[in-house]
Amino acid sequence: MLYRYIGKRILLLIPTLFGIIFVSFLILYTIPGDPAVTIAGVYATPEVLEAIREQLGLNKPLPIQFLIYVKDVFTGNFGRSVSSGAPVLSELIPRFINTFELATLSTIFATIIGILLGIISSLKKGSVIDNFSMFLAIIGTCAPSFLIGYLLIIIFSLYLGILPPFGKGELSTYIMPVITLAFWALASVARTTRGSMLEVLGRDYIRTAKSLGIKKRKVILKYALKNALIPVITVIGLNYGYTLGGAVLTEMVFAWPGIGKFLVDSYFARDFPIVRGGILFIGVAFMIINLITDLIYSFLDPRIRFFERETV
Amino acid sequence: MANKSFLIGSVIVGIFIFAAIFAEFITPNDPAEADLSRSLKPPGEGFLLGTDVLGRDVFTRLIYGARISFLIAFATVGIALIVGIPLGLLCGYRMGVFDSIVMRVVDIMLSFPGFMLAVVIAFSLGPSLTTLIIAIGIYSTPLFIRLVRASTLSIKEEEYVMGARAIGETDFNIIFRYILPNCIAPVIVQSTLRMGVSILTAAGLGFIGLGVQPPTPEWGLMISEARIYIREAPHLILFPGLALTLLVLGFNLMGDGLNDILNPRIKKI
Repeated sequence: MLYRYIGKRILLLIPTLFGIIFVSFLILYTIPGDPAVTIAGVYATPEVLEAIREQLGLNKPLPIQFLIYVKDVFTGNFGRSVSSGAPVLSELIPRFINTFELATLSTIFATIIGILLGIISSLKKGSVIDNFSMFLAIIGTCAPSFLIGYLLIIIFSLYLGILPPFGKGELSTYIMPVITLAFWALASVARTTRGSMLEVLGRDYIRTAKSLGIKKRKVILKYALKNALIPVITVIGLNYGYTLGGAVLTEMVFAWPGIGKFLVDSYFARDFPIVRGGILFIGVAFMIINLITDLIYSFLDPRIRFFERETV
Repeated sequence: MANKSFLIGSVIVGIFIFAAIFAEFITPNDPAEADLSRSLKPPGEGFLLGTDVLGRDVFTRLIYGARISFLIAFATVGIALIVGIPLGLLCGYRMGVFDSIVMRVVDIMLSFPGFMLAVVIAFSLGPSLTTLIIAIGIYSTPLFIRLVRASTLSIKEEEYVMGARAIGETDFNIIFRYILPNCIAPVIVQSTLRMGVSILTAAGLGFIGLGVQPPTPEWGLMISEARIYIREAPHLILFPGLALTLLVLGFNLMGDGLNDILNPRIKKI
């Protein structure tokens, strides 16, 4: 059953992969103007433009161009950046790693703090900590991440002067970007943990365990938490995607050299080989990350194999 | 039954709607009127919330910004509903090849992580208010297709739908008289929540320069324009940020409240 699920899941990636390739192919043509000028820049000489048309096959019919593009993609030929002249992939990979680093650290931070806050809130319902963490949860869901980022900068860089306001370097430059990006996921992890713990704590087997005189700490850690964490794990996986996608805003606030910021900057600099390659890269990377999280779930919770996960 | 979340949410959203409709009566100033002699004034001195670098009244721009936010919220969710509900109904009711194609397209769209999908659509449409609305409309559509499709799949197995089919009702009647009314409750809840998401997404796109263009008083754009003056005038970032947070909170509370009202079986934890 497990192998069949994995096989089916990987087969479904093929149309998605072609879809992503098609979208990144089209982006060059949906942007207004001559694609050759779009790629080479407005100052390119007619000879350069002609060379690009020849190289990309822009004189050929669109379906042929698409086939050439597909061939280029599978042979790893993504062209060169207009502004730096370096191969597109060698520009994208280090920036993707920066974003990946930021998103992963944020997810770990959100998971640890979110679960802790959720557990404490569920055990001390109505207490100061419960109200505080629910307040954090509201801020996390409603406030735009760039507002949180600037609030942190105003407090910790401008008033207290203890953290650098932007850039990526030593450990201290990580603190504010990680917290900013983590906020949204932290809110949803805390809320889910709290709700799930409250539900589990009300079940018969917990009451039985308590009435048998088993220590409270053991009941909570061994019986309640273990069952309460299943929906939390699902939420963390779903959030990871949103965290990766939302990272661009955090990157803009803190001048973090990630792939989202790079893509937006390249778009405004009209460096379209980067934009096209970046869209493809992000789509494929996210597709693989989704696959891995799905597979991890299907090992952890066999029920998922029978019901396809819906992200509604 | 009075629902506290719904009530508070409605009051918040109501205040913003009031401000958006009666902007001209609430503030005498023009949101685009620049005057460099009163650049970067702190809150209080003649201007309730101060002025920005061009000397424009921040309070006035916030009030007029509410108009833009509501326009974006209603128009984008409207597009998502108009496209998403029929597609979801058709996919769920008919299944087959059409359903497979639509679901693959949805998969492809969702293969771009969250906000990046909106960025990619905005890339190909170019930045302006109209394209922003179309971009966020497209961005919101997969949610409603999946939601309506899932509801339709379960409702069409209900006995009353079987009964309607048995007495010879047409497919059209079954879909619109039996299935649609019964899957509308979660759609209403998600539409309300989605308005908050649309406003946040528009602000995010405005913030990175892919959304509404200057001099439109959009909240995300206002924050983006203010960021280089964060040292001299942090209020230029805080006020639009607060307005955004409050309005999104309003929509979220309304949505949560509606969820409790429309699904009385699910007890709130």
